[in-house]
Amino acid sequence: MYGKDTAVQQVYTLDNAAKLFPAVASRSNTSVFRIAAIMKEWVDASALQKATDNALKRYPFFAVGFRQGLFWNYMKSNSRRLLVQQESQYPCASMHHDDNEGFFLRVLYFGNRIAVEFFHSLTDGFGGIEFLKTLLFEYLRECGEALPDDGTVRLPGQKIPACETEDSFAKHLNPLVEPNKTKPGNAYRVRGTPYEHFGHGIIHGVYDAAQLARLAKQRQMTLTQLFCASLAYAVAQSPNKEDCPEPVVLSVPVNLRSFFPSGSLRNFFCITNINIPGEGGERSFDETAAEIRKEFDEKVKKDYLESVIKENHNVLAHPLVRFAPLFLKHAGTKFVFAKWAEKNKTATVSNLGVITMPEAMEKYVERMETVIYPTPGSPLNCCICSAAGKLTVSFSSSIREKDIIRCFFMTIAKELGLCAELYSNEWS
Amino acid sequence: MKTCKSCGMQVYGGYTACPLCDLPLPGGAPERKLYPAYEHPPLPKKDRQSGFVALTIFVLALCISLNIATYWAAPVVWSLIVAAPLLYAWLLIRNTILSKQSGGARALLHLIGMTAMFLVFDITSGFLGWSVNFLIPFIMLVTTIVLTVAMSRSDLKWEKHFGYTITLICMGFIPILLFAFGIATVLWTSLMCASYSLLTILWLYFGKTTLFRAELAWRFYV
Repeated sequence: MYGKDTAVQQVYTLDNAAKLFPAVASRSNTSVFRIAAIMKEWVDASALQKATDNALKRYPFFAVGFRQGLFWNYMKSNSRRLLVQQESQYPCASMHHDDNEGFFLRVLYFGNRIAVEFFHSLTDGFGGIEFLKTLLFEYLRECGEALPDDGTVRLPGQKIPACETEDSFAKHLNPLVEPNKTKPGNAYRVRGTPYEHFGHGIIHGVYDAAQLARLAKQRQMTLTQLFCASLAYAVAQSPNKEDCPEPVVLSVPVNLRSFFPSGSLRNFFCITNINIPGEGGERSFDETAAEIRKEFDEKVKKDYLESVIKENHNVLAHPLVRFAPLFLKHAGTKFVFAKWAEKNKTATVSNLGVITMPEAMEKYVERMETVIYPTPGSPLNCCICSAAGKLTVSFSSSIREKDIIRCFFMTIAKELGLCAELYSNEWS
Repeated sequence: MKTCKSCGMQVYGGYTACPLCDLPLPGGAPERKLYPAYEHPPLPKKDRQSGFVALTIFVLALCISLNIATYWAAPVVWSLIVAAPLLYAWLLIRNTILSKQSGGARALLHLIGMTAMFLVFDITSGFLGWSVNFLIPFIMLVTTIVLTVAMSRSDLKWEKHFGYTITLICMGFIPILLFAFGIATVLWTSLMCASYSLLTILWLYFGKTTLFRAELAWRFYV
């Protein structure tokens, strides 16, 4: 029964990462990310609507609206019906309380694409992927395909484990660890001309996943390191970067589930800043890659991540922060974000990794795409995922200049001998 | 797939220009659309609102200057009597009529704006007390009644207006506090306003026990 809020509403608190997004979200910093599947067949809207109705039953903690308390935001279940929409806006457009029946996720379709967009307070990439897999499974079933339940996809009707809604930041907080007190300096920032009509320009490049992984391995790099090296190299080659001593800093979200046992479908990630010093003259691609590898070895390890979690926890648990009214918290967060956090990074590189699906389901999927939102301080961001043997690199940008993206793809072509197959949303 | 002659990349068939170089690609009509053709809304006209803001500031500055210049002849702060309704009109248009905020937020802002305006009128005309004795308690009472009626009609509205209603209930005790401190001199209006606030609290506490307590706990969750 949709359309009426009932007395039995579930309430969820926000995890530590989720608390940031409502404060800083705006039209130019939407805090919305997208995960999409490109199907082999045209998408049937009515089947997708039924699939969405079913999938949300398995993820009641995503069917929520945001409420403001005196001290914190919280999420409350929304019993209205989430309607699927034909895509008409640019990817990762902002979400508002009054839109979309009060939901903070969108299910969109266009041609062969099924896309799900999440406000980041709801979940991270891992939760988003799990939801999309359920949605695709239900969609294919609604289309009449006989898919066996092999237990790898979360399906409606299953018991929802409590761990899926747990705040894993709180659970894995190590009180004995020293918080990370490193104060990052200013990073080189990409600048450019904003689009005439505000929006997000998206450029996707598709590779053969196995071939790219093999070539990266030959260079003794992981795929994330390869993309970071290519982007850092491309940024360093841009004309504006010349004579600029500030380092290129790539913000890399790390899925903490790889380091801490967690079944949570809420946010459980940590940002690691990969720093490529500005001094020392022009670096070759190999020298940039060596710097990146060193930074990853140093920062993507449990001890370091624990110290970052501890620092984030300490900030929010401070009595002055905890007992400050929400509007003051939001104003403070906005100020800190604009004054410092946005100045600490050049771009974000987020690799969601390989999205695995049951074989019976994968044969209907051509590839997947992920898109993250750009921000005023970081107008160019990169997101990667691979599925069904195809790896898609997606750049989202709020500026017209494409020299860095062009150099990125050309660097991979030159260094690894692999050309991308490109397409875009032609926003410009 | 088409090949861009400039960057050498392969481009999906539906494109007439390379996404990286913007150079034209060989080939004709699009094969398959991968994204919708976006309809850009017209660019906003050169901020019409800023013209009205400038006009308001000009009128206010002119009145204040004239008031200061003529204060020796007529020692009345009449510029406030012009400024208060002007600012209230702004509030009424921007934050009440044109605003997309919830009804509760608009009612609360409207109440604050009206209260401030009438207080200014009363104070600048020698403070006869008509604002604190009659108008303010009456406006508060009417706003609280409107919100409680909206709340009682559906659970959805009840929840939506909860925060604003709690704020209004608290504000309902202001007239009686003004009476206690000797600022207001008429008891029955202040008492009426405070009584309604008290009744609303009792109604929420006993009539909507579970919902009210749960909502209150979450609103004040630390």
